[in-house]
Amino acid sequence: MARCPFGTQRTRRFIPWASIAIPGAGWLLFGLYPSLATIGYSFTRYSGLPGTPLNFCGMCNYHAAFTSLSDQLWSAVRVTLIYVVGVTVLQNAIGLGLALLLNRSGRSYTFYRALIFMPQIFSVTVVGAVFALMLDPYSGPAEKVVHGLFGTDSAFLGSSSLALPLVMLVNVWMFSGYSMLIYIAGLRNIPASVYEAAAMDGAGRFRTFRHVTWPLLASATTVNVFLTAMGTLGEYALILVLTGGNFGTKTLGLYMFQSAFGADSQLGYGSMLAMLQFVLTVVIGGGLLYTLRRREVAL
Amino acid sequence: MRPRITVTLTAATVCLAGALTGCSSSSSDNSGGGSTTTLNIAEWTNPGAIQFTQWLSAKFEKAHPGVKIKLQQAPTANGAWGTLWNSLLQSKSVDLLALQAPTQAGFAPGYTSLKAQGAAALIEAGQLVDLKDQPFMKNYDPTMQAAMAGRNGHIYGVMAAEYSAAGAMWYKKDLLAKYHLDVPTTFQQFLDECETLKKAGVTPIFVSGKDGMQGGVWQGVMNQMLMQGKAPADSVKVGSDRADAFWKGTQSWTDPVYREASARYEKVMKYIEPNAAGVAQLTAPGVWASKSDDYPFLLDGSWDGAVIQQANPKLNMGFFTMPGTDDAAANRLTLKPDLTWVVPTSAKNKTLAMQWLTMFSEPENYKEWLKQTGSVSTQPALQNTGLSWMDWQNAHMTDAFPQLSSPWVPAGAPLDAGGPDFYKLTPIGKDSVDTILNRSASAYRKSVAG
Amino acid sequence: MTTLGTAKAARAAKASKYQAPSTPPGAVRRLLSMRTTKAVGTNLVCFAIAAGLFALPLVYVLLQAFKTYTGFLQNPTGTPHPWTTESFSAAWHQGNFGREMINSLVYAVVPGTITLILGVFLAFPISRGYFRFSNGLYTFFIFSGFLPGGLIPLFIEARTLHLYNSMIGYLILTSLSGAGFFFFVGYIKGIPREIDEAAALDGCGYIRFIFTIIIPQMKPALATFGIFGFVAAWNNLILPLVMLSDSALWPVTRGLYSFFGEYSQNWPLIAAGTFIVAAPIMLLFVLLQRYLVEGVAGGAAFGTQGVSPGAGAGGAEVGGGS
Repeated sequence: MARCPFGTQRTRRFIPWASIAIPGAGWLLFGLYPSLATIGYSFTRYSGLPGTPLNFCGMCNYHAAFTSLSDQLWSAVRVTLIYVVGVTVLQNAIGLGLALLLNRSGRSYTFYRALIFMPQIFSVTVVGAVFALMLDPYSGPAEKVVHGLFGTDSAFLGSSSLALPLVMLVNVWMFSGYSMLIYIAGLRNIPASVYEAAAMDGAGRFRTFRHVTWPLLASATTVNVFLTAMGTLGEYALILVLTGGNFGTKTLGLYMFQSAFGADSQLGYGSMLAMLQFVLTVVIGGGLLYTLRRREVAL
Repeated sequence: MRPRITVTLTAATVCLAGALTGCSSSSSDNSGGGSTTTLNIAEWTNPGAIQFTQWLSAKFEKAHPGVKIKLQQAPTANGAWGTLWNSLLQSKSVDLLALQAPTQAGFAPGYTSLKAQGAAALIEAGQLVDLKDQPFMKNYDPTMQAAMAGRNGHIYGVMAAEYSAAGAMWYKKDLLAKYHLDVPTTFQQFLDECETLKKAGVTPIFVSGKDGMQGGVWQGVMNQMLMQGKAPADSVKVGSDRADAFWKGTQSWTDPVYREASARYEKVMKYIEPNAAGVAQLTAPGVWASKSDDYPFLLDGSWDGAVIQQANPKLNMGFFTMPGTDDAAANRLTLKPDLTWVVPTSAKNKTLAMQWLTMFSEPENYKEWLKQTGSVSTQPALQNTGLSWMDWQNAHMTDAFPQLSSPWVPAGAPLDAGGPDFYKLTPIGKDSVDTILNRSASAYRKSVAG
Repeated sequence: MTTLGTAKAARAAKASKYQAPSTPPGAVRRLLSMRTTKAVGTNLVCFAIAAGLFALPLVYVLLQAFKTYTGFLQNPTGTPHPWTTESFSAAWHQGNFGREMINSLVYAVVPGTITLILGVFLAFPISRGYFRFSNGLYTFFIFSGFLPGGLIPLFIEARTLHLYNSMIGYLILTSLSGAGFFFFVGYIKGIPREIDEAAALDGCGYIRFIFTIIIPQMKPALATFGIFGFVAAWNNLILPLVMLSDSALWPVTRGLYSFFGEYSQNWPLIAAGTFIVAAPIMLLFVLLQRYLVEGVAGGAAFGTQGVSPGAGAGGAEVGGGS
């Protein structure tokens, strides 16, 4: 524990606490309290409507999720894992590729980086609607392109084999710019002298990347992987707009949303699923941070 | 860079100041003028219904000086509407609310240990006003209203709209005439017509498979088969008996009637457009309407009439319910319960809400409602919707019945439990009828076992 | 003692002054003309990727906005024929975006600014390790961000506190979150601790120190989160839907959303509405985008390293050069 150097002998013990008081209180009031209520609801069959009884039922929702409704839960978890792993790997690969390509000076590159970053400023709902339109087999351009290139046609988002990869691609399209920026930041932190040394040793492009760039990007990779994985774990809005969770795209987040807010929904059951999702997030997030940080040290 | 940032910040501050003053002035004219009362109405975004509500509200304000009507709306997508009406009820700031009819399916018997959701939960908890003795209820059919929004002899809402959904089919009159075809009356005739059209190089049916509209074929056939020879009013009992039998395990999704409905579903699906699985409900009516020389049939609910009209005003269109059996008398119109007005017990202006409902229920206004929404009348005196393309529906109103309610399933149950999953069933998905029905039967058993 | 994180890249950051390794220094010099050809080639590839893969879908949607509804239905994938801007004016009038834009600006700028400042105040003592359990607090705050949010309890609470359906209430509700905390903790670690000591010796007070020394140092990070926060606030739909019932208080997304429901099939109109709503963010983005890279750079380098060396999961991270 470090000592706060500010204030007088008497006040310096309280300054750090005063500093975090307002955001801390805001977090308690508007962050923690509603979350605790959600934990409470997860033990009920509460409809979520004012004036209706809470119908406390103990562990009933948890019990049902792991017994009578377990197929549904495990299928959602499986889709979620595929989604998270796929998007994280792809988005990082693309983000890194873009970073290597676009980490150059000049106005034109600034412009290109801006273009690549642009999709993020639209809300997920808008992006979802845009791609639903583009991938429509009868009124969208994707069908024409695919037909022209490969001579085949497809139902795209309505195909049980293509729907999940397509949703993942849309997600990657939307957020690759963000990963790119973090990687560019990482690249700029690598001193030029390291590259000079590598060139002196006669290292080729690939070897330079493998032995110099990649290890030195470790912390950028950590941030990117962690943020992408955490961001995609809870994703539901994009999937909802694109496929409605059909054709094998129902993630845990979407299952939770539909259970809590869909037709014939029940806040109790949805809250239980939200708790399960939180557990999954902590497990995956904690595991990722642990391994990524060990990896950083090892490199 | 610095000057630019300063400019941005200054601009932001100016806008901010303007907005804050704008805000305070606007909130003052809400509280001002003491004598005005505000009647708060909330309704989900359905263009026709919203337009009508605004029109009627203007009329109401004129007839009741000093009353201001505030209409709140949100689209049903992304749970927006559900969240909105929940918060309006929480804050006790809604006098008149549109909800989906709870029907009797909302009240599963005690032995299921299922708890009521949505409007049914509000009724059970005494959160809605009993409208049974309101004078305007005389305009509606009391048995039907009791079935749709009633509980223990009270009626907690006015169901103002029904639509045709199961087996609902739009068609292009000119295109059928071109091939000398009539509106089919039996299932076999429908198949024959599709075959004729297909041979002539026309794709008979257009459907949004991405949003599950194909299920309407199965639902239509199943409803007509189960209701064969029964009075319309029996549908409530048929539905609840079936739900009961499912719960007790004496009926299941693998019973012959569901196998037969599935077999017929497969026959119809031979005639849908390629890649129907990728077509969204959002685009389907527009694409269908703008193609006047192909796709004679569109599998879609009767609520989309206005949308089709807007997309192609010149289209000569008609509407019918797909005949699901070979007995013409059994091929009846199936109706889906829809918008129901309720008055919360927490409403501040109940009298005004009743007055608004009275005005709404007046035949001349209600007629306008039917026209704007394209919905089926729930007032026995007004059977005709007055829309030219609803001729078939108007002629088939007498033996129409509300669609059967589904078996009870707990919250969080898979789609399969409530019936076949049409996203996985061929040709939209890859699984055969046998696989799908067996899966549904076991998913149902497993879901209710908990 | 070192107070910085110890990853090599992080330490190396001091040495390099943002030099893009576009051509490896010391590489064999080629003919000038060849180099220019190559540079033009790379530039073209980058352009193709940026424009063809990333911008094209957005341009496609923008194109739809210039069609008439029937024109769109008849030829959904072609270029507009005839070109028309009537969708823009129709969307502008029917969506009542004018007033809502101003509301949106308030909801995005005010909480955005406050929450950034609070974020710095929250991150600074934790980053400096002033608490016995700073590391625990840090982890706790990060993971608590993933706790399920309860919209309905939040609503009931807001109503009890009289924050419902009021502009001030909504601003309070959205201002107290201390966003950007995760990045700020890392970023502040990049600011040498010696500055604190020196400032404190000079008699500089804590609040003045944060505002005059730390915040100016964090400009890139603040700009980045300013943009993210602005975009998130601008696009927020469900919170204003629930918390603001008076249409005079609505932000522009609330209007756009109703608009979506009402004209769900009319793509030209929807496309026009979408771009009208997105225009202010695009403008802001163009103005501030050069800060994005630098802002992400600082936070990213330190973001995941916990508070003090050797703590938390990275136990093997033996304090580099203490």
